[in-house]
Amino acid sequence: MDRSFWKAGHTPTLFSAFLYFDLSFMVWVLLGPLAVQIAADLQLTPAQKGLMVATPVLAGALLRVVMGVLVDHLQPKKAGLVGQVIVMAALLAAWLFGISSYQQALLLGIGLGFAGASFAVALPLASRWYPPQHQGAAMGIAGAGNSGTVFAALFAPTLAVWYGWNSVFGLALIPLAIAFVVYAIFAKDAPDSPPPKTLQQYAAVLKDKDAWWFMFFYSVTFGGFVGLAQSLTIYFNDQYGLSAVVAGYFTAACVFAGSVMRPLGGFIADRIGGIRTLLIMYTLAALFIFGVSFAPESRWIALVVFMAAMLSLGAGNGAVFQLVPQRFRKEIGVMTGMVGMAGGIGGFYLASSLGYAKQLTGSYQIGFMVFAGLAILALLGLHGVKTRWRTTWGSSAVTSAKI
Amino acid sequence: MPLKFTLGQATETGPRTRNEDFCGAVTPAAETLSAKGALFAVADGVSGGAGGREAAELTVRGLLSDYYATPDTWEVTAALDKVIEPLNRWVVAQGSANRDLAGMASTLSVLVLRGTRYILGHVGDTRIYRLRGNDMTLLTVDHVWDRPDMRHVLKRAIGLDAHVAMDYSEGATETGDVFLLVSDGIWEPLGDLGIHQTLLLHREFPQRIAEELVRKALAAGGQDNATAMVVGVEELPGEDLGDLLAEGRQLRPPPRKMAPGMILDDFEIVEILHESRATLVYLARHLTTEQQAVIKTLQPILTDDPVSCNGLLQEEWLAKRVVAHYFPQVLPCPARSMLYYAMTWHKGESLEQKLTRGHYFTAVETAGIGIRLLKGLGALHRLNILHRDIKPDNLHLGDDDRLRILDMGVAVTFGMGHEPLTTNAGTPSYLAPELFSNGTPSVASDLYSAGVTLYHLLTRHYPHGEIEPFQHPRFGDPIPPTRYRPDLPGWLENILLKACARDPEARFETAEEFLLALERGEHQPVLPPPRMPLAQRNPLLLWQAIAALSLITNLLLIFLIVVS
Repeated sequence: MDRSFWKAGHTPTLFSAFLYFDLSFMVWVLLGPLAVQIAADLQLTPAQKGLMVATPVLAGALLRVVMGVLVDHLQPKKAGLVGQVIVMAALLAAWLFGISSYQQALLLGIGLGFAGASFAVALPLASRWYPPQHQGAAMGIAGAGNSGTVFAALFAPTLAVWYGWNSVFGLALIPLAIAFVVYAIFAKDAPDSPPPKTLQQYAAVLKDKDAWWFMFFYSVTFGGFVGLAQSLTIYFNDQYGLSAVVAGYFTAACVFAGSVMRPLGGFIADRIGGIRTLLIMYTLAALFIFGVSFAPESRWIALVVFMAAMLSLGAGNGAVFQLVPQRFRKEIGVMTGMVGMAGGIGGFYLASSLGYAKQLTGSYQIGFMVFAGLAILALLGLHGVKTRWRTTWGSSAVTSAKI
Repeated sequence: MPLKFTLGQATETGPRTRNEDFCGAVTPAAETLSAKGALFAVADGVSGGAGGREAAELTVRGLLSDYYATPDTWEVTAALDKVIEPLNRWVVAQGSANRDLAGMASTLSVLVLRGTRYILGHVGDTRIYRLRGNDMTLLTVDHVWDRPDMRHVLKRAIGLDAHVAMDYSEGATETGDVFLLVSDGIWEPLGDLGIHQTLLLHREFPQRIAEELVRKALAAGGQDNATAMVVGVEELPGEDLGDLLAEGRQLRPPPRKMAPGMILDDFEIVEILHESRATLVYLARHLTTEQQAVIKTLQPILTDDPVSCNGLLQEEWLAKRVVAHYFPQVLPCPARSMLYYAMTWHKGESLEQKLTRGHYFTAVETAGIGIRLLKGLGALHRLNILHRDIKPDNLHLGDDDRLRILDMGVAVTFGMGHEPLTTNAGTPSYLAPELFSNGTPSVASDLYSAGVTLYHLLTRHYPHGEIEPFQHPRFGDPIPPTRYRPDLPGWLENILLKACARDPEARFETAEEFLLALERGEHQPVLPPPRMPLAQRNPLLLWQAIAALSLITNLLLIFLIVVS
């Protein structure tokens, strides 16, 4: 990265956006690592467990659209402030009043969904400051906030053992409050913002078949990533009898693998082609998930296979977002929202389906197998469209659009 | 709106017996003005005896008429050079053949105003000045010997030598600019100061400037013929070529996809031939003449997209100028009410369709296709047009066994003085490596596509692997086609490897060179490309590799010391 990058945009905004995004993602997946302890106290069935961890994912996906509208009408900074206040209020309420029922846990999940929707705020906030040639780097730095998911899996179970899981919500408020203050002081809206997106624009994009394909592809890769991030703690605890803390560490390793691989996936796609990368990644992901559905004897083998699956899913995420901005050069703002939402829905599906599979059949296998089937479906779909995509997409110029 | 200017001119013989100056201008209208521009020329004939006037008049008259006969797609300086070169030879030939005219020569200063730019061509000691704001600038350099006694002896002029070296320059025109072309009969007696004063005094009235300059020059004791030509720029045209191409009408593509049997102005749609994200191509029949035609238009969704609409008009404009049987010809459609254009239709199929059907291309057949492809491409390049999307899909083999190059959709000409609309269009696998690193399209990149096309016909593979959209691959040396087709003769392989080389310098320079190589075939084979060692190709990588290797070796040795 050259020096001109730091002169080009607004560095304080970039870093407060990163911090906001990072911590938001941390609390977004907070319920996953805590699920073991919460479920034990609330005596939840496997299906309820699955739905509880899946709720923030779904809420995040849907609220992303709401936040997108807020960004258009309030400017990103205010929208971000609103989002953070809601998340903190939800956590504060959970901490002060406690969570004593399944319904309350779901309600908290919806509140945490606002944290998941931070994606729709942090990226435009940062990227609008940067000229086209620096957009990639700016989005990369802000988008690195994905790593927040690792912190949740790493620390939450341990803190829950030390202080009780309810206090974790209170403890999470500390970094959130710091990020809030930093954000309130340092983040600034870019002087020029693109015009608000209209409903017609969404409708117009959805007329394009390619848009649906991308939504499907991302719902498999990102859905797999976030769905596993939410469910693995439960799975490791349930299947291998690991304590919540160790299961959290295992999950953190997997999530870390997936989020590190994302930018690398974009890089690979740039070199060897996005379609080719996705073909490889879907094949690998399907193989690994199918393999792990048989629940290998050793927890270590399971960990390695899950990490491999997360690596391919993470690379797939990167590959999808190498293609989307270039294919939808003009409609990029609308498309990111739609594709992101599809990813969230995929995550909701995976997390909840694992719970139901356990409840109905007594094992997780069928849930994993269906998801591996989805990956194979994506593979076949990609095979179907690849010739058309390769021959009719034309140019390789860079995008200059703003989100 | 077109370019607007006013012209003033004046000339006087002065104390001499003959006026050997000559000036002339062509101020065309409408499309010619935007394509070729307006041309102004001043010449000052010199001679030992007679003939100075003849040289000057011949040069200017020849230039004025011949410049407008050059293809519209040529760049202005290239067109001027192509016209002036033979004029020079003609003057030289006349001078040496005809005793009366011996030693005749002429200076020449040309100004072309086209679009928002001006282009100058100059040789000799006539001058071109520009008044912008209140500043006057001399835009030319006198080609005379810089010695006090030889100030009037020309170093360069039309008719002096078998080869004439013109000075060319260009710049952006601004509204209010006044250009002045004068012979030495004016600038010598008046000097820059006198000219500047006159220009400022009468800047709104070019004719008065011209007359005043001539009058003052003679009044100041000028001993030579005095000629002045003044052009005042009043209004610049819009940047948008599309406005002019549309003949002032706002044509829109048909609002709906047409079904067979529907009527579009004079045509009845027969079938849809091809459909892409942006364009629709129909086969149609003319209602009265029964002539079959191909109609190309835009997808209805692009109705409100001015860029695409202008793109189609530009495409038609270009296609109209390519008159060669390697291309479908544009048919006139005077009655059109919507945005489309019609071309001749030829029965047959594209090479891609042949590939899909499983057609086996023999080496001989492919060489034949290559020869025809390069003849067509050569014709295009001579018109200064780049096709930018040569691939089997765009090559059509008619039932009359003629090869036609289709789809000028992304073709560009730099002669129009416009930047291409899409910077990097084309099909990734056929794009030359330099285009991925922000290179500009060139003849070399078109020839690369032609090479990949032949390669693909033979092997069904690509010399650098299949490249996807938005991919930024690393290019190495092309894979030898004999890896996939061991039966290929060595001479053809060498030609293909040369055509698909990564480095543009290593490829064929022109379509004609490529064509010649294919025609000569094994009689005079192209040498195989030299293997470039890593040390030369990427010295940094080599040293990095050596350093890494040595580091690993040393770490291993340390490890061995520690454990033993």
